[in-house]
Amino acid sequence: MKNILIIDDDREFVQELEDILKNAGHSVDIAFDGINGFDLIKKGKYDLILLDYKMDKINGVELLKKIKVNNLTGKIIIISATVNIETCLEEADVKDLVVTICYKPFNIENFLQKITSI
Amino acid sequence: MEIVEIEKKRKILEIFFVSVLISCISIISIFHFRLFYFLSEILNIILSFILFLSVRDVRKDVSLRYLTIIGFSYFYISIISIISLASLEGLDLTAGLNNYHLMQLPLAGSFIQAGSFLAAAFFIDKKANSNFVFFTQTLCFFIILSLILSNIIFPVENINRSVPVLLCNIIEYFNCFLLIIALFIFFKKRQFIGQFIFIIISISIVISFFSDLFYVMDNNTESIICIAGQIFKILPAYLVYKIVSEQKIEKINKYEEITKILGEKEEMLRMILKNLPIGVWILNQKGEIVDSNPESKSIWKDCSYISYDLSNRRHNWMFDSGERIIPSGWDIMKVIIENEPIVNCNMEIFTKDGLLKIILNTAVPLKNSENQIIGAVVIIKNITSRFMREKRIETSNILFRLLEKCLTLREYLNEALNLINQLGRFKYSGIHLLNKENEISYESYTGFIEDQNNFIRKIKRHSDIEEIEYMTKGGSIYFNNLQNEKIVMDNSGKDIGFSSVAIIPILYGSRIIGVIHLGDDKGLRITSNFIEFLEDISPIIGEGINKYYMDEKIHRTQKELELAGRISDIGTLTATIAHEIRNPLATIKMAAYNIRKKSQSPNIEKHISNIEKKISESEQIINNLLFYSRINSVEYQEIRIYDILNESLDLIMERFKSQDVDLIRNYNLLSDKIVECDPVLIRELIDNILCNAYESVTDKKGIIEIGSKYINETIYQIYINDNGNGIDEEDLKRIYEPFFTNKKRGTGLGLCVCKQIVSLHKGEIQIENNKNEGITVNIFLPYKRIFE
Repeated sequence: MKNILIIDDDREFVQELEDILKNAGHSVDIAFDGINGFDLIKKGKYDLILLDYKMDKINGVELLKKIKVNNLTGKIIIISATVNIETCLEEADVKDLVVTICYKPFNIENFLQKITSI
Repeated sequence: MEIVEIEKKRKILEIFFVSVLISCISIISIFHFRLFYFLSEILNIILSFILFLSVRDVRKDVSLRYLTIIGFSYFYISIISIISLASLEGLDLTAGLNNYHLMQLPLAGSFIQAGSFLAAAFFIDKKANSNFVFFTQTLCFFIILSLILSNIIFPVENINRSVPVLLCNIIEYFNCFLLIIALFIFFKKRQFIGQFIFIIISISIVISFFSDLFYVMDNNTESIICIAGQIFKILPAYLVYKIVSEQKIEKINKYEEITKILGEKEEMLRMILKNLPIGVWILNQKGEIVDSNPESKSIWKDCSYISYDLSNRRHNWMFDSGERIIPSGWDIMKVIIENEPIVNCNMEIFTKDGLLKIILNTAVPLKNSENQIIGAVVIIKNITSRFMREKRIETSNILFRLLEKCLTLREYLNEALNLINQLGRFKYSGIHLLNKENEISYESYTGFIEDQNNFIRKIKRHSDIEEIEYMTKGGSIYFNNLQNEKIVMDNSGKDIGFSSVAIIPILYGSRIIGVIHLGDDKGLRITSNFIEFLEDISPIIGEGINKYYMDEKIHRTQKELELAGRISDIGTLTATIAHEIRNPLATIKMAAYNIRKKSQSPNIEKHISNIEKKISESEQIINNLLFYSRINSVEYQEIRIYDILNESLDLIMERFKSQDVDLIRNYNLLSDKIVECDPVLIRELIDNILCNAYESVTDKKGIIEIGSKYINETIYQIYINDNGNGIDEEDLKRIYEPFFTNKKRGTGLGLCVCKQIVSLHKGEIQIENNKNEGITVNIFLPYKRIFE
């Protein structure tokens, strides 16, 4: 049972993911953009943050930078359809914040296992 | 001819005139002695006058012949004076010895004078080489002698003896003596003494003139004629003196000087000939060598032309082939026969130790003053090294031009071979190229039939190991067997045989990339400098060949680049599309997952699994597209290949769990092996191949075996074997081409990606149809990363 924040602008994806996570017994908060997500991170205490890499307004990397600047902590999993984003993370010097990266479309069972184990 | 005729006629007339004259005088002497005496003195005058005229004429061009005439003339005069002396005393020729002592001296003097004049005339005549004069004068002498003998008793005429007559007679003695010495010294060429003697003679003649004069004053008027005779004697004597002192001696000196100069000149010419750096021959009209210089001998020294032995010279032109070239068959005879100079004509000769010499010949006809050809001068020059150098440059240039002219390697080699044929004129010639495995990958040859060609190959292989000692420095092998015994090196050469064979390596750098081979069965000699020449140009041919290899490579690379460019464009597009599709795919996948969870209905389950399967297929397509456009580098990690295989297999089984397939794992060999590779790429590789395998067995019970084999310490093999439908043989060639597929769906990139992954790892992939059914994919990969 984990407190999870999903930050993703793909509403259908978020809905399905929320369903899956809730079914798995986790509690889920949602933010549809980076700014909103950042506010939630500042306010609440989440065990895990699922962050989309590519978003409008503020994208994943920028959000991560913001988190780092504000000295906020939290286990962050990046969810992305784009491969090879490690380099982008490294360039922005935010890799240390990221626990793991899940490439879309991922294997749901494995994904759930990973969340539980973290 | 005419000159000789006239000379003969003149001689006959001379004999006739002299005979008639002497006969007339003799007949007169019988009837009237005084008249005879008178006539004899007249004759004396005439002779002296003739002498004077002749000597005057010959002053311009003195000849010994005229001196002969002078000698004989004085002889006659002496005879006449004997007769006159004998007649004056009325004595016979011998009587004077007994009766009148005073007459002994003039008589004997006249005899000696006559003898000495005759001897001198003979002597000069012999020198002058005019025997005709000798015979004429001898004949005259005998006529006179017979006349004297027929008139032994002469009419007696009383004459008073007086001192002047005695003086005259004594002077005659002295005269004779001096004349003999003069002639002797004259022919010994002591010119100064000769001059002196002639002066003395002249003085003695002057004295005898005065003695005669006194005699006349003593009332012997008839002796006036004698004085006239003496006077005329002085003139020729003086003229003879002039000839000898001025011209004759001068001529002799001139002749000696000219001889000396000529000798020096000849010596100089000889020296020039001897030291000339070019060879010179002097030929006679028959084309035989009459003179030659040392250089010409050294040029021909070691050649099949054997010697300069004069007695044997016609047989010198023996070539090893047994062909004989006689001088008349020689090109240089053209110069003598047709009067046509040969200028800078090249000639090839072979030396005994197998060298080819190139000789530059120039020959011009030798003509005498009447423009007749009497022989020829031949100038020869050894231009072998220059010729070879020029030929090398020329051939290199041609070979370079060929590179532009010939579009293909085949064309180039054919042209190069033509060139070698033109130079060498061998009956058989060929070029063989070797590939990296030392197999003959290309051949071009003329003359050789297939069997002979095998023979050449055998020589080549033979030579690599055992025949090293025959090799030249450049690595060529050649044989000459000019006894017409065919070389048989191997059974395959038995039927054909060659009289000469050569193999020359074609080098690129230090690597042998092919061979040139030459052969002849007619005794054409392979010379060591021709081999050297070929060794020199072979690297140029090598470069040429390599250029075509490079062209081919560039062409191939260009094609690859073109494809890569095309793929790269497609890559950018597909990457964008793939990313955009992955997002909805993820949502669909999760939605399906949620549906399954929520419905828990077996009716829906079937549809859900279809959706999942198709999602998985889509993922695979996207992955391949992305991979194809993305992969170009390998990120090496040290991993257990065994684990990767297991993961891949687990995943694939999961993906194709609806399909009835026996997946046999047979790769325990790799269980503890750590290999260096890119795990992502290797996973992709295995996924792709297994996917193909699964797809090929959809319509039956599938058996897929994945296993490994040990190859060596550096390479391992993974094979994936299925019992599917296999691949058409025709398609087998094209399966690695991007976008080639015979599936209804699919990008046609799967195996292309596989090939790329394997070659990025410096491995190899082979796909072959099984004997019964299905295919086997063999992948060979190195354990350790291979650096370029």
